[in-house]
Amino acid sequence: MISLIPNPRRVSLLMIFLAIGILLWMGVVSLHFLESFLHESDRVEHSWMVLTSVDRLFSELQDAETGERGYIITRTTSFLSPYQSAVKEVRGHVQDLENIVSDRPGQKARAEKLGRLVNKRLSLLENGVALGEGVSPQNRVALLTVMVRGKEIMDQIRQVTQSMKSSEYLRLRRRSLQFFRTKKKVLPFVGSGLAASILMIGLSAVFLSREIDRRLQAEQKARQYGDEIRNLYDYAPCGYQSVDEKGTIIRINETELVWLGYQREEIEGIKSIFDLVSPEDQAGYREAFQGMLRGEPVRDLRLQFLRKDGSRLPVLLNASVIRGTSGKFMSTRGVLLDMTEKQKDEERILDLNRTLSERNVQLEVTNGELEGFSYSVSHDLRAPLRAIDGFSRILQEDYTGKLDAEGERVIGVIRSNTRKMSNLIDDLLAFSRMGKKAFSWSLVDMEALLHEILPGVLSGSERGYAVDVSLSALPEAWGDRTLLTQVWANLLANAVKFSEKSEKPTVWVEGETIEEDIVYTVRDNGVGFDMQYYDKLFKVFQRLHAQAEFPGTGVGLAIVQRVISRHGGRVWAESRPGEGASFHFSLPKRNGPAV
Amino acid sequence: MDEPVESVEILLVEDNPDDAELTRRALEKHHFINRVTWVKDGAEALSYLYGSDTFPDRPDRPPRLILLDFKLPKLDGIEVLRRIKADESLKHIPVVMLTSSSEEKDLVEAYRLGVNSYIVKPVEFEEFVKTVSGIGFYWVLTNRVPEC
Repeated sequence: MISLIPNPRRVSLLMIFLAIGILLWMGVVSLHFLESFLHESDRVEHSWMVLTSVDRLFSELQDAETGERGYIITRTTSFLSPYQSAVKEVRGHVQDLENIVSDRPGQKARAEKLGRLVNKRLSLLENGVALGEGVSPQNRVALLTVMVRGKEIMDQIRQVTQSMKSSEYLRLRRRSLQFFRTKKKVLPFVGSGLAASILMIGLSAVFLSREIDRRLQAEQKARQYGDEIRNLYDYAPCGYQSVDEKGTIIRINETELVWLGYQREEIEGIKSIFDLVSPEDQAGYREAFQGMLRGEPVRDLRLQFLRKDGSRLPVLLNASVIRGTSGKFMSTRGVLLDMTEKQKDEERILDLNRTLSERNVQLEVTNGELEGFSYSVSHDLRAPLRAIDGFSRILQEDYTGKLDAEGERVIGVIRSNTRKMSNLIDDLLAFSRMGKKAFSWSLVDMEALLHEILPGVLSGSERGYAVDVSLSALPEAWGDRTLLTQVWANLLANAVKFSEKSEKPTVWVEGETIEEDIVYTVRDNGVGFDMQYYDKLFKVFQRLHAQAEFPGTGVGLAIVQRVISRHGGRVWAESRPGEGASFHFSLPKRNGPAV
Repeated sequence: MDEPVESVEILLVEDNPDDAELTRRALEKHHFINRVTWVKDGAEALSYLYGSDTFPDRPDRPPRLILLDFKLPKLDGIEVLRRIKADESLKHIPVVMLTSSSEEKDLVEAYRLGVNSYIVKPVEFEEFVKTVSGIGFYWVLTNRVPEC
C-alpha cells in the first residue's frame, strides 16, 4: 500500500498545505462575510433607531396634545407640565431624527417635512394654550379653528411618520431577506471547507504515522545491523584499528585490546599507534605510515607490537587511508594478524634449516674426508704394493738359481697377495666413485646395453663360454647409462661366476613393468646361497662363498645396491643353496631428468 | 733414429725412491738409463729446467721427455705441469703424468693444462715395466718434437 505512493511524506505535506490554504481562504471569505454582516447589522440598528425616534416623537406630540386638551378643558395648569416637557424635548428629537437620516435623501426629505409639520403643530398648540386662558366666544371659535387645524396637522404628521416607518420596515425586510440568502450560501461553504480540511489533515496524519512507523522500524533494523557490524568488528579473529593523521588511535576492536592487554579507555584518543610499535620497528613503521598518507597502502608489514606489560606481539599489518567523498583524510583502516604461531613455525623452520645446514657442513666435511681417504687409498696404498711386487720380481729375476723351490713359492705367494690387494683397492675405489659420479639421465635401451656388455662378461670368466644366456624382451627405463652398465655387468658376472660350474649353466634375464616400477631379474642355476645370510649380501666386502671356490672382493653387489638406490629403485634377491639365485632390481617408471 | 740414445735426456720427477728405482729399472731395459735425471720434488724439477746452479752437469738442451708424478712434496705435480705449459721455452717438451691416482678430476685437470699423456701406474711389476718402457720408447724414439 505504502509502496504504491512514491513519497508519503511529500503527500502528507501537500495535504497539510492544501488544508492550510483552504482554511486561509475560508478565513478571508468569512471575514468578508462578517464585515458585511456587521455593516448590515449597523444599518438594521440604524433603521431601529429611526423607528424608535419617530415613535417617540409622535408619542411626545400626542402627550403635548393631550396636555393641551386637558388644560383647555380643565384650565388646570398641572395638565400643562407634559405639554411643556414635550415641547421642550420634541424639537431636539426632530433634530436628532434629521441627523440620523441625513445620509438618506428620501427619509431626510420626510424628516424635514416632519420638522415643519411639528413646528406648525407646536405653534398651533401654543395658540391653543394661549386661547385656552381667556374664555370668550371669539376665543371659542378661534380655539375650535386651532383645534381643527391642529387635528389636520396631526393627521399629516401621522401620515409622514407612517410613511417614514413604512420605509424603514421595508428596508428591514430587505435586510432580512439578504441575510437569509447569505446565510444559505455561507453555511455550506464553511461546512465543506472544514470537512475538506479535516479530511486532508486526517489523511496526512495517517500517512505521517505510517511514515513514522516505517522510520522507527528502519531505525531499529539499522540499530540491529549496526550492533551486528559492531560485534563483527569487535570480535573478529584479527585486530582492527583506525588512527588519525598524527597516529592517535581513534578506534580499536576488542580482539586487539585483548591481544595488547589494554582497556579501551586507555587507548582510544590517548595512545598513538607509534606507542604500540617496538623501538626497533619504529623507523620502518614511520616510513610506511608516511607512505600510507601519500596513498600507498601498507602491505603485509611484519612488526613487533608492544603489549601493556612490555612483552612483544609479532603481527602482520595491512593498512590504508579512508578518505571522504571530497578526498579529505578521514582516518586509517588497519588490520592486524597475530603472527605468534607463524613466527614460532618460522623459528622452528629456521632452527631445522640451521641444523640441516650444520649437518650438511658436517656431511661435506665427512665427504671431503672420504674423498681424501679414497684418494690416498688410490695413491698411497698402491705405491707400496707396486714396490712389494716390483722388488719381489727383481728378486726372482736377479737371484735366479740362488733361491730354492720354497723361496720361489714364497715369492709367488707374496706376489699373488699383492694382486689381490690391488684388486680390492680398485673395487673399493669403483664403489666410492659410484656414489660421487654426477648423474646423467637418458632413456636406456636395456636390450642394446646387454648385447653390448655380454661378450665382455662371458670372456672375463674362466668357463664363461659354457654358460647359456637366455635374454627376454626388456622394457627400457630412464637412468644413467654408465651406472646401469655397471649394475648389469656386476649381476651378470655374478650369475656366470656362480653357475659356470653347474652341469648345464644357464642365466635368464627378464624384465616387466609392475605397477609404478620396471623390475629386471637375473636368474641362474648356480650354487645359490643361504637366505639366513641375506642381510650380508649387499654389504661391501661381505662374501657368502670361500675365496678359493669363488674369488671376489665382495664389492660388486654393494655397487649394484648403491647405484639402484641412487635411481630411486630397490634391489632384492632370493635363493636356496644349490638351487640357483634370482636377483631383482626395480627402477621407477616415472624416473627422469625432471623428477 | 737420427741421434744416439746416449744423448737422450729424460727428467723423472718422483718423490718415492722405490717407484723411482722401478721406473729407472724399466727404462734400463731399453738402455735409457744413462740419460735419466731423477729429481725428488716439483721445486727441484723447476730449478733443473731453468738451469740453476744445483745441477752443474746439466746439458744445455732441455730434456726430451718429462715423467711427472702427480703427488709431490713442496710443489705438486699438477703445479709443475701448469708452469711448464705456461712457459714458451718449455711448453713443447712432452710431459707424461705417471701416477697412482685414477681420479677422474685429476685426469681432467691435467688435460686442461695440456698434459701429453696420463698413465696410471700398474701395481703389477710386469705391467709396470711394459708401460714405462713403452712410454720411453714411444715418446723418446718414435715421437718427434720441433727442434729449438
